[in-house]
Amino acid sequence: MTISQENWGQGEPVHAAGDGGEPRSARLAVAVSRGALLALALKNLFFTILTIGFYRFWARTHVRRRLWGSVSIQGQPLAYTGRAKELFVGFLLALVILLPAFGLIGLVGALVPPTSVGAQMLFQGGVFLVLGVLGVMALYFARRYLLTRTVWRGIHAGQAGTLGRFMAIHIGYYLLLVPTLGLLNPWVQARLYNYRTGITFYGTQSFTAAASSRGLWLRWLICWALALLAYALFFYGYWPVMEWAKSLPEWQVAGLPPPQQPTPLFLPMGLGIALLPLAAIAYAFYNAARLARFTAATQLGDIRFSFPVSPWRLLLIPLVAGLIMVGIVIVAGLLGVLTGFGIAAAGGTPGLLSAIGPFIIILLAFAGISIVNLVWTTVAYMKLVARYLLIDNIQAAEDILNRGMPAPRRGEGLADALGDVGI
Amino acid sequence: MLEGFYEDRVSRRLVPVELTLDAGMLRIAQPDGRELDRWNPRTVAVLPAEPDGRPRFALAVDAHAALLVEDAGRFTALLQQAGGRAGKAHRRRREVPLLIWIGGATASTLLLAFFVLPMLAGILAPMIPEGVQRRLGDQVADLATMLLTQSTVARECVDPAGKQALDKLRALLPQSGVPDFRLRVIQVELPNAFAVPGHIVVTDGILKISPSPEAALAVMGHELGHIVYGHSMERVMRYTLTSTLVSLVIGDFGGGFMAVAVGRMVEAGFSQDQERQADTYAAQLLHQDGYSARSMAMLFEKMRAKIGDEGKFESWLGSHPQLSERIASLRAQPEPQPPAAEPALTAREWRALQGICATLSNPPVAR
Repeated sequence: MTISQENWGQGEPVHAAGDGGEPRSARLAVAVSRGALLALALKNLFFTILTIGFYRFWARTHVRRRLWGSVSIQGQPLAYTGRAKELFVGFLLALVILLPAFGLIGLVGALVPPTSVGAQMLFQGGVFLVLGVLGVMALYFARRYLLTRTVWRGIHAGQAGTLGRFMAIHIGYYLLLVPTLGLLNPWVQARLYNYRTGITFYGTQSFTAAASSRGLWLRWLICWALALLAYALFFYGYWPVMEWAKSLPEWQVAGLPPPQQPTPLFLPMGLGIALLPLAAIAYAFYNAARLARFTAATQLGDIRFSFPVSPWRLLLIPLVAGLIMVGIVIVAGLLGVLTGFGIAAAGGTPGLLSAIGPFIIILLAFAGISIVNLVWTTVAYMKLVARYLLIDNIQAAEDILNRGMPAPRRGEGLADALGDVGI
Repeated sequence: MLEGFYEDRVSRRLVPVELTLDAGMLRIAQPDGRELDRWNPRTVAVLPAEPDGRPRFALAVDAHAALLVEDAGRFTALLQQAGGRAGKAHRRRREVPLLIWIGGATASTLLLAFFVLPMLAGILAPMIPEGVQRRLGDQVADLATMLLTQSTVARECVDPAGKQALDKLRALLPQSGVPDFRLRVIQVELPNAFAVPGHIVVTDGILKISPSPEAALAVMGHELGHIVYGHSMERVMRYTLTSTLVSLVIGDFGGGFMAVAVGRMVEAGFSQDQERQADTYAAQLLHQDGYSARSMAMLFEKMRAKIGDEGKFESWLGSHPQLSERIASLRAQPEPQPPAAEPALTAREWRALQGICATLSNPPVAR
């Protein structure tokens, strides 16, 4: 039973509702029309091009509102309460940090001699490190923003924890992965999952997770060994060409013509490529087991979760997306050829059309890929979650109230400036 | 311990709570001991008054939960024990309108692109040590030569008679007061020339369409102008900075492809000024040697006849000002008084220079 404000002066307020009650289970219901989503994506694309990109904050907000609203639990839809202006302002503030940083990287890059392999590698490594640190920072802000803008039954989700600790933990574990070539991945993923889940809350209730890497090692080792073998074979086959490319500056300094480019060893390279689908299948099996175990180890107070997802379905979604994208690239290529013929037929005057034509085709291909990501991939993953995720003891959610921690006023600026955050 | 109510500001649900201090934090728990929330006492403040007149405390004016306490005095005293300030109140925020954000962002982007970044490049470029510039110039000159000649080695044209004529022409360029540079001709049909720190590279294509040796001298003078003014370093820096700005502002829409195109347009606007500067430098050089700037104008007229004047769009996209404009300003230059007694090269030397690519350097030797 809940009291309203008028009760305040009249008697003792009582407990909020929910305590106990029949244990109930629930699934996510996803009701999204791919056609309507496609129409929205096309409208967004049109305005984004028209405004040379500035509409993207509004576009993203409209898409999120649509996606969140299409998910409901126990007949109650999720809501996305973010506003485009918050994203825009957050992005402007991120620019203040990123512009000097990227400008400096660009200037140093311009001064690194293009043919000095060592200096180039050192520079690339440095850039990779800087981007990695900025990426972790962006993850913190993006996650916090998305969670605080997610509402179910009027209760806001959120993220506790400080930026410093978030960065230290993530960078620390990621650095462990580097020298082990990713061997420790299940352990690192479990640790990071527990940390990230632990700082996530839904109203006054915090999530907790006690995931471990137990039971995942065999699947991971198979996947890891296959991927490593594939890379090793590929590089072994390509090695002569790399050696040759590395020797080029020496020949140039000596003023001599370099020897002919050697042919790569096709057999090991082919074997390496052939191993990749196997590695992908092994990874899907690992990932399905990981998702199931990690989810089962997660709690929201008395609420528990299970997610026995099928590995084949996990594999199918990116596979179909990949095929659609290959189709788009082929169509774009054909369009390019046709435009070329068109110019030739028109008398071969290389005017405005030939200057802009390829540009427009590439732009449309990129737009096509992002539309596939939304209309096919994102929706497919949402339906997958709806199909397999089971929420037990959902009645305990009625005990949960909103938390007093204020939500950030600005959007995930850094993530937007660094790269697309997906949705 | 203090009693009060925890209010969900969205659903307006009220829950009785007990308030205590725990490790410097305000602990909010239900009577059965279950903790609801933990607040930092330093950020807790009273909210603007509501119609019911009851004092509410929260972490921010727009927080989704608040505390209602009957004895506000005791509650503030409790907060003060943990470092909270008395009399602190959250005020309603006034939002800055979207249009002001957009206007400010546009103004500062334009200011950066057209004023601050070019200035920064102009300041930074001379600070790059001579040695670094030279090393970079050496590499870029070789790479560009290899690219233009579509060869895996940087080969230049070294026909002896042509080389002699080239040296004679070079002697007409200033010998002191300019950075040391290497001058070479490469075998490329396209009429072109470029300068990077320490290098001037001229294609034999431009020599062949030059109407006179003075025109070829003007081409070299133009490129020397770029070196003297330090244009190439400044240009690299300006391009880097503006394209960083543009790609960040436009976002990853189009996979950065759009950013390159727009960056090029912004950058082209600046380098047109540099081309004019280099043209003026070349004209002055000719003047000092006693030759007319018309010889350069005539070369441009030939180029215009060959490729036509560029349309408005192409000139905006391209890095050079329109040929007609350059021709007009060259024709407006004063004639030298008195003019030089003889041409820059004899007819024989001029033919030799135009045929300098009969012999190429570094005949390939297989190791």
